[in-house]
Amino acid sequence: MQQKKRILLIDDDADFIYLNKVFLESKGYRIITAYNGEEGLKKAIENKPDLIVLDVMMTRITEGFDVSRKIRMDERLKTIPVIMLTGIRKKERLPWTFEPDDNWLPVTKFLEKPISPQKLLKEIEKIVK
Amino acid sequence: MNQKGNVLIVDDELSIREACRKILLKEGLHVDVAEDGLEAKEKIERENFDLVLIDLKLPHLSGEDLLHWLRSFNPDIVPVIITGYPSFDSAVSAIREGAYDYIPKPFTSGELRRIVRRGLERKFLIQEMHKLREEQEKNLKLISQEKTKLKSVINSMADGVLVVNRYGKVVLYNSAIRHILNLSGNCLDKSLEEVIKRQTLIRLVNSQLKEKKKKVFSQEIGINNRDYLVNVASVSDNGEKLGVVVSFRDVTKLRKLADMKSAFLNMVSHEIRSPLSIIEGYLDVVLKGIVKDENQIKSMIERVKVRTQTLRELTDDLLNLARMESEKIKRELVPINLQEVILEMVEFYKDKAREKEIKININIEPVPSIMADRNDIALLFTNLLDNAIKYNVRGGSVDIHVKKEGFDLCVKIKDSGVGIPKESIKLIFDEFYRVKNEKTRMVPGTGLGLSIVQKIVKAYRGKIKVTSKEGEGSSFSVYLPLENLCRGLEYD
Repeated sequence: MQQKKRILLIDDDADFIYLNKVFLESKGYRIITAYNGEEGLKKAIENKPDLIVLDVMMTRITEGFDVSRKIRMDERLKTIPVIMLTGIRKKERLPWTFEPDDNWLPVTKFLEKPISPQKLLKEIEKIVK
Repeated sequence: MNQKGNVLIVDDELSIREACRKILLKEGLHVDVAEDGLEAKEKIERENFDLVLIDLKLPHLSGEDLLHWLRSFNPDIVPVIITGYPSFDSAVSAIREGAYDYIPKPFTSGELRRIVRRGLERKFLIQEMHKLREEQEKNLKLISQEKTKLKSVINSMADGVLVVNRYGKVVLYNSAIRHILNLSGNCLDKSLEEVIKRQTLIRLVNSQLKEKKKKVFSQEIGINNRDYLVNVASVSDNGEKLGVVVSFRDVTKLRKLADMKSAFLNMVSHEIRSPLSIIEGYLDVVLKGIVKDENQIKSMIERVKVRTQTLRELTDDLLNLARMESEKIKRELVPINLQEVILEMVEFYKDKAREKEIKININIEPVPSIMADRNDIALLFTNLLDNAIKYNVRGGSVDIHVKKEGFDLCVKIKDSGVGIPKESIKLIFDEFYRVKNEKTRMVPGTGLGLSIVQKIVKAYRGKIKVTSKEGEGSSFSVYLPLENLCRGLEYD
């Protein structure tokens, strides 16, 4: 039997984590969770997930942003695909671009919140399968 | 003045003096006589004459000298020369000197009457002319006064005003516009392009100059970090376009308010969208049978309840604010025992406090019950207690102290929370304002709670004091004047 794909969810909204964990597990994934960037990085190194789903705004407004750069700079993590989520809409003019870019926003995919578990699953399947 | 005419006859010959006098008296004129130049001079200085008949040959002061003096003394008096044939040449020179007419001796009564009448007509014409000139001067003065008045009115206006003629030249502007557009020097008669360097404005004015129909062009334009509503209206006379009036109204505050409102709407929609999507997600996995475990289903439904509750709180806040902002609201003033209200409220927040392990200490000194609207009082202290818990740290505390202080009832709610940055304290009562830093970012809120609090305190003519230190906590003291609580109240 094929081993289950492992996804690390990093978000400070407990409901978002809970809901998506239940949903994605029902679709055959193994879910690891973390509620802030620091915990997320630690769990990423420990578990070597197949994909990381990362929220931008956690304790600090750019926490997820910093985490994504750390992931790319870490030899152990830099090949793991990252889906970045944010509730900030583009017109709010933040000092970073929303287009994935190796240096500036080194993530695989950028998605806006709110996002339904089904939609998130579709995006995950595009990357992991 | 005698409108029929006041005449002086100057002649050394008595017969001529008298003859002339009689003729002219019959004409209904006022007549006086002088027999030499000096007497004539005295009389002219004393009395107002319209016309002087002067014989050229006079003792003491010659007719020519008298004429000369008369011209400089009062050029309005009409001099007529009486002359005999031998001195006809001198009569001609007298006319050159300024005599109006001459009458050669001997003359008939008809000739005298005719010449005097003509002379008087001239005098009255001169008078009329003077009157007209005076009136004209008065009118001119009035006009210039009106102009000055208009100018001061325009210059006192807070709005900037700029008038451009149909050739695009500046013909009028006020001091406000100088300030707004940073103009220096004289701008009159300069072309618009020289005066304003802003293409948007020039385009707006030019399109109005070309516009056939009568309508006002309006546009909001940012100038030097301020927002102006620029209205461009045409000036026409009998359908002919003379130019345009451009007025600049500073709408910076309004713009800010509008921006705040739309920022608020953005925030509200975000605050509504996120929990709704979570609620939808939970319901979806339950309804589709993705979760089957009874306990898991139960916990999900519980989470749905929590998120729904937050949403309801948000709508409550919005409704309360709308209630405050709408016209004067009706209040039902009833005696309120503050101890009861506070205890009820604390009971309500017990679970929330326990969740964060926050200890609520209550110290209520005996205070008289107050006349107030129950909704207001509940809303006031609920908002403050809610903040004290929301912005508190795990394991923190909230102290509530109720006491009488002078003529005021004082309720102090002190927390051991994250505190308010110094520069934010004066802003926290502003609608939609929220302290944004890493400690508060995830605390849900609308930015309306304290606005509501302040509106209520104001309505009861009370005041609110805030002290806070970042990392140590905040303290809100509400003072409600006891005597005012019995009177009719209204919101501002």
